[in-house]
Amino acid sequence: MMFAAFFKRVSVGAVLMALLIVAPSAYADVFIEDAWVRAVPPNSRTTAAYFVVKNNGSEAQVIDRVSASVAGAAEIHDWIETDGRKKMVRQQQVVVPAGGEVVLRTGSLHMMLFRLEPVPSQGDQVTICVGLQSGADVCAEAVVRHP
Amino acid sequence: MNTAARRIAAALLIFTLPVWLVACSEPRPELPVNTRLGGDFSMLDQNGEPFGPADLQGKLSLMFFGFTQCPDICPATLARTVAAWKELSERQRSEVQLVFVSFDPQRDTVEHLKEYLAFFDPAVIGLTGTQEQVATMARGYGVVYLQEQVEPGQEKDYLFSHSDFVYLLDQQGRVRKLFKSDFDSEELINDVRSLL
Repeated sequence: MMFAAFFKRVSVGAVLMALLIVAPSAYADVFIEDAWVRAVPPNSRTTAAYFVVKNNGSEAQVIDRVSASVAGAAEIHDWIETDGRKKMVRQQQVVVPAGGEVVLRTGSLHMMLFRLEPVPSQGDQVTICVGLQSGADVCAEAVVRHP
Repeated sequence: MNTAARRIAAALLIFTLPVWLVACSEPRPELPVNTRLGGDFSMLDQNGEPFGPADLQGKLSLMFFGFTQCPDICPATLARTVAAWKELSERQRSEVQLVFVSFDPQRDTVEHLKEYLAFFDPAVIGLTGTQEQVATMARGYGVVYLQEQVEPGQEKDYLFSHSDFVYLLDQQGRVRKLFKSDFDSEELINDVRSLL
């Protein structure tokens, strides 16, 4: 009985260890660089995050969700210009090509942070995550600053 | 470089110097007056005081239309405009006012605008009004904006698609130049200085 319990514990531990070892290596090829969040006034409900997602792997990766530690909701948007108006269009998916990168920057592809709680101050760190279609989340610390 | 070549280079420099000096001192072409933009309007500033066309006279104005819940272009343009304005001398700054016009009066109340704009610089004037007042002013300046549809449950997070020009107005309140939101700061500063 005791042996069985011990064996069970060891098995669970082994599985967990395997996950810890395997999971990061499966997605270690995808990472975030140069992440920052726009500093906004304290009465603002929204801001944006900018960063570079790099994919050193041999297969393209698809981002299909994003999140941020200070936001009730987050989405990736891009700008399109029609009839003299600039319009933000939500991107349900963003493909990071194999061996390539996707750049999120002002006036282009960017990550919108809605319903800030709390509104981060300049110098704060915000955890931002991009979720890959394969199931993994890739996160990074983004500093809140002026451009 | 041998002696002969050096002499030729020196001679070229001496002979072309006056041309360079004239080219550098040539005045910038005057900015044309845009007579199609402007018109009457009645708004409230961030202190709740009335603000009309007469308040755009006596100083240059750098004016931008946007909304405070805009996450990207509006705060970026405000920050860049304020940064360019701060490049001016103190005396020049006193002759240039910064005006932010909101086309989202539902959320951008007088109080909200005041707190929001102070973050960029307390000198920024914020304008709001009723939907009709905002529409009238926007129409006068050829600003287009459209409230976008949102998904159920996200009614407070609505966004606008909108034009994104920064307007340079002269001391008579006349539009002299429009800049895209990704304007070149040096060009903007030079144009401002040309009207001072």
